[in-house]
Amino acid sequence: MKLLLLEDEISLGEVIRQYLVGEGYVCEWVKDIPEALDKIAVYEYDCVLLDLMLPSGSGLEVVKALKIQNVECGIIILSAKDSLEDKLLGLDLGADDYLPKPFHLSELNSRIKSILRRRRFNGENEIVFNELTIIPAAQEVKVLGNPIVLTRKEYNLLLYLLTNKNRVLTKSNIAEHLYGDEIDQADTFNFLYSHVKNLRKKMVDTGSVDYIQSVYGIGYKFAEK
Amino acid sequence: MKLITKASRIFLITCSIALVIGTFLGVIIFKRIMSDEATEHLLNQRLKVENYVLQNKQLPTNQFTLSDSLWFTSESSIKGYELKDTLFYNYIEAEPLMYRKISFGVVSNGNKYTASILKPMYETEDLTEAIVLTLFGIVLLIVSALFVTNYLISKRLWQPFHQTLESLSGFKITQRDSLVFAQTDVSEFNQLQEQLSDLTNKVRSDYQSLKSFTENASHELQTPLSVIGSNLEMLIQDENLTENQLKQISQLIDSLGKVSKLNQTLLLLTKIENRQFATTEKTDLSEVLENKLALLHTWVNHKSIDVKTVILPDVCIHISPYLLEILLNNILGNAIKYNTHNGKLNIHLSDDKLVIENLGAKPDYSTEEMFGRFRKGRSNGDSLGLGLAIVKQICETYQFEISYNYTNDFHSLTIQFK
Repeated sequence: MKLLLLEDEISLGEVIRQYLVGEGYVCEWVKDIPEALDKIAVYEYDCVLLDLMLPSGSGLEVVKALKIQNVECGIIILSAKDSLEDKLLGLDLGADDYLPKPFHLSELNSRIKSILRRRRFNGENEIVFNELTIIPAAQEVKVLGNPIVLTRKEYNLLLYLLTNKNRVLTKSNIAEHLYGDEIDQADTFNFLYSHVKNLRKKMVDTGSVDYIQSVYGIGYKFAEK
Repeated sequence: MKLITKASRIFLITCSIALVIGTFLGVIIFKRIMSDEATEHLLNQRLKVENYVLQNKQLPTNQFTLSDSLWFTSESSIKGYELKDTLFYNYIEAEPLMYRKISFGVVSNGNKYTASILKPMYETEDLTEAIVLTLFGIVLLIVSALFVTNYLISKRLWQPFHQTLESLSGFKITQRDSLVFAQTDVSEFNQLQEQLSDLTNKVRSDYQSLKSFTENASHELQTPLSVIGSNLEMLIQDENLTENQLKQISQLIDSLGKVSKLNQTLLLLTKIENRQFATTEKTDLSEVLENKLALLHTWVNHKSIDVKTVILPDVCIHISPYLLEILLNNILGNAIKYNTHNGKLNIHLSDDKLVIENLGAKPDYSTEEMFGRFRKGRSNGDSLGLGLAIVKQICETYQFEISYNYTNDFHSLTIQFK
């Protein structure tokens, strides 16, 4: 999987690139629009991550260029400019997703994976982890071929944990992914706890190993023991 | 009150007062003059009678050559001179009328007489009345003419002012072009238009720079926050961290979350204040409210809150959908957050208002302070205390009236739509 990151902020670009490389992507990082335009003219990418406010203009230019060249790649806009118009304009121009700064790297990872799944396999693929199988298109989860019934939140929680497997995810990170700004943070932690508890129980009852590890004081990690 | 009405009113009041005082004074002065005239006339006739008696040594045979109404009465002694107003019965008019009478002593051939002369005063009354009425009529006519002319001229003169006012009322802070005013040759109005042009241009440019400032500030702050957050996220992946170190990092992450939330919220407040959410749509509040409640279901269940709703269908208001979402999130969120366990939540939506009541502890501060920024109860360290400030700002933007009170353990928030 090849990604292009357009981000003018050195320290931020560096940490995003490092994270994505750690996730097993090939990630090229450019710092301004002309460079990005050069890259997309020559190479093919699976997904392009764009900042909007750049020294030489708006990242939306790159979205336009990608659409003109009819390149089949996912586009995620990463921007602090979280005004509604920018968001709508970006999505209108053909961006697949919009992630306002500051964001969690794991959230970015989850969005990239989701776009790649949709693009590559028309959403038909399965995510397999040992005895666990998730079919995102049908929102189905199977353990050893037996379907388990999860609530929407439990399903989203499992998918998010699995997408970011082997990584420690903070409680606020997961809560934000599940609830957005819907509910005040303080209460979401209680829900999260009960969601995790229920999910664990359902999985273990169906014969799965308990992959969800609690990391003391911080959050959770989905990994093989 | 319109300017022209005010000017006309002042004009009319002044004229009326002047007219009344003028008429009053006129009557007094006129009467005084007539009275003096009458007295002078009587004194003249007295002189004439005395001269006649002195020259002819007898009373006049034909009294009417000297005066219209002169008569003599013989007296035993000489009476002094006397001037007084008396009523005499007038046979022609068939009523008692006012006369001025002068009487004085005359001696003729050793006989003593009193001569009396009458002068009718009632004629004076009639004359005064006629003159005053005429004068009053003329003045009234002049005043009316002046008034009408003044009214018409004022209306014409102030026309550019009204046009300018009209242009100004169409001014929007977000508009791209300068205001255009109708031409006028009155220098005061020209000056007014110039000042207004300068002012509105300044306001527009300030607004633009403020708008871009908020966006830039957001960008400049969010980026470092992103850098810190992302690095902390990377850091906690390290397997070699001790429990203590993890705890410290977790505190950093929590605080960072607060800072970035605070930044977003303050920016949101500024944006609402600057009216940067220009898009208002006719929104079905009933539907949005029902959806929101469905989303909050888990939370409500979690706290075992008894929810009672009376939601009138198809209640529509004009609002930015984004702001409506924030508004409902905040008020419903508060009603759940500050509710007691096994508490109560009543939601009542009617055509013109939304009332949300919830059980909860008595607030730590007065109801007036409720909507202030950074207001939070002692027990809510996590809260930013900006939720109700945002709610209030949104309500102000759309001229909704918001009120809060606390009675019988119930917090009650009412939003009245216009």
